[in-house]
Amino acid sequence: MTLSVKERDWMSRVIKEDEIRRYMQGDTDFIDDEEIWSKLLSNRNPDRKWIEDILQKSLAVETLTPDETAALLNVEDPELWDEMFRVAGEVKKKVYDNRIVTFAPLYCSNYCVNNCLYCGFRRENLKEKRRRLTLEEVKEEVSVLAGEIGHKRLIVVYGEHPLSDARYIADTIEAIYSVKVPTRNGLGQIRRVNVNAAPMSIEDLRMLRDVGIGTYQVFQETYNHDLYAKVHPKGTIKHDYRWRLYCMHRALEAGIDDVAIGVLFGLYDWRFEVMGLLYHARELERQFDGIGPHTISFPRLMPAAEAPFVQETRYKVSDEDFKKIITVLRLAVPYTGLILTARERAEVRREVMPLGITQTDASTKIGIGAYSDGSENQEIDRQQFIIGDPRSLDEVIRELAEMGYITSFCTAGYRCGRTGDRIMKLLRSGKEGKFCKLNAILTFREWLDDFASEETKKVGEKVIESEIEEVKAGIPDNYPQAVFDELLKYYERIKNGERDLYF
Amino acid sequence: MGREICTFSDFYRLSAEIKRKYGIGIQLVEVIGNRWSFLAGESDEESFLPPKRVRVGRRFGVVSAQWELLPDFEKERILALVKRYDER
Repeated sequence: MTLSVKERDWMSRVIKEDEIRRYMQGDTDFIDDEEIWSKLLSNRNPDRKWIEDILQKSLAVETLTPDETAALLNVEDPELWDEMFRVAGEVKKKVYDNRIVTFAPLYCSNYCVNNCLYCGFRRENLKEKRRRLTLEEVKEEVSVLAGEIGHKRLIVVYGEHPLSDARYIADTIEAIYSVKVPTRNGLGQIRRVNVNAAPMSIEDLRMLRDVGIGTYQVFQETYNHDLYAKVHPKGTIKHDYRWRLYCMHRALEAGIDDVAIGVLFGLYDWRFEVMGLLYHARELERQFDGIGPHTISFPRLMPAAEAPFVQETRYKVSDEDFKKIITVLRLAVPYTGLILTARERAEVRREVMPLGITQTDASTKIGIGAYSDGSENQEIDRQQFIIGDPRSLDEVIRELAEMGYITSFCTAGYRCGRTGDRIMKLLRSGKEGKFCKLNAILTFREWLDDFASEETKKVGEKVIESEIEEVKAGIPDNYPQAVFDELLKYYERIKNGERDLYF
Repeated sequence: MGREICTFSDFYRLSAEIKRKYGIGIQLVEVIGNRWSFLAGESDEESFLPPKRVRVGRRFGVVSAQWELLPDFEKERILALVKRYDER
């Protein structure tokens, strides 16, 4: 597909070199491919005692060094991996308690000027049906998500194109927040809109900040410079590695203080990519007063229409290695949220959930307009890729409850100043997890009353009961008596129909 | 880098004084749509009580879990300072 003059003109104005250079030290960026390989090589056969010490550091919620992370990645002893799996779960419990936050993706536009070799949205994929939702259509999607399914949190996704520029993204965010839909006991609405969109200038990012963006999420896809250049062809915006690499710096400078990073696993060696994510987290912490990534994502490459690289790659990640990726990320960046998506099959999701996952999606549809048009089947010609777990939110929540997890719809933190360096301190000290527990109880109560099937409600009630008991048992070491009293009052008010009460 | 924290040193001073005198944490936030984004102040999360949010002018807000326990004259001092930021 040839680019129009208008598209070319728009593309020529996107990248601002000075908004890359200002964060760099000299001529190199903070990802040194050779250094990463050298760390991975020099930390082979790590001593067991050292690994045990590293695990203690993770339990103290301290970011690991590149050497420590490389050592974990080099562990070969299956028993030691079992210990690492266990500690990863323990770290998650300490930082985020027993809750799993759920969300849904909302794809607003699949127009794209890029041509990434692994992506169904690539502009040369002529079979893709292109569409950009109008603001009315966005609201129709949200009516289903917030009114019928019960989601409170979205990740909104856009291709990179003048039709879905920062102005359009800002308008869609406002449209989403404006929707209020009647439910069984009140009004359903989206309380936090996170955005997955192409890297932008500081000026454009301020526009998103000004309409109340939640988290800004951009995946580097691969941290390997050479491969990055190969899979993001010349002549596209995405070809510029550093424009992408420094977009979280720009977001933080623009005042968006919750940022999220990720890698598309399967493009390159998974150990290298985990190291890349660690370097990225450490760089952000270094330059922004300790603020690291709010979440890290680790999607695996999935089949996509007309995407030749998916078949070509020799770096596909096995299920066993996928477990190791999640475990090392949890241990290396202990404060961060880890997002597991419905790309993965249900059985994989079950298996990896205890390794430190904090967020997952459900009732997922990734076709443009697919929530409101009632389509049940996946359609490759209007999706970016094929999802592995199309189960409903109700089914996923029931399963989580059966596994002993409480589903949380909490969006409190960013609405009461627990953002940026403050949330980072709370996460590192384990205090945020205590808020997580209280807010999970309240928001799960809301969802059970407003949306749950009878079957799910039955299992959910038991989880709530046990969580309330845990809070009670934590008096006075974890919670003052006054907090427990307040929790019970709030809980009763929610049972009586009030909504959106939080700690 | 690039953030405005350094310009809120007087809020930091005031919030430290409030914390010292009453053991109550107050935080200055920037209100951006749904987002109440932390700018400066002392923590009070050890109380784990629900946060009280007080909107001040177009751009700012104050958050504290124990706002109601502060004497009125202290509340007024805090709000007056934040109003000055809003008028800048």
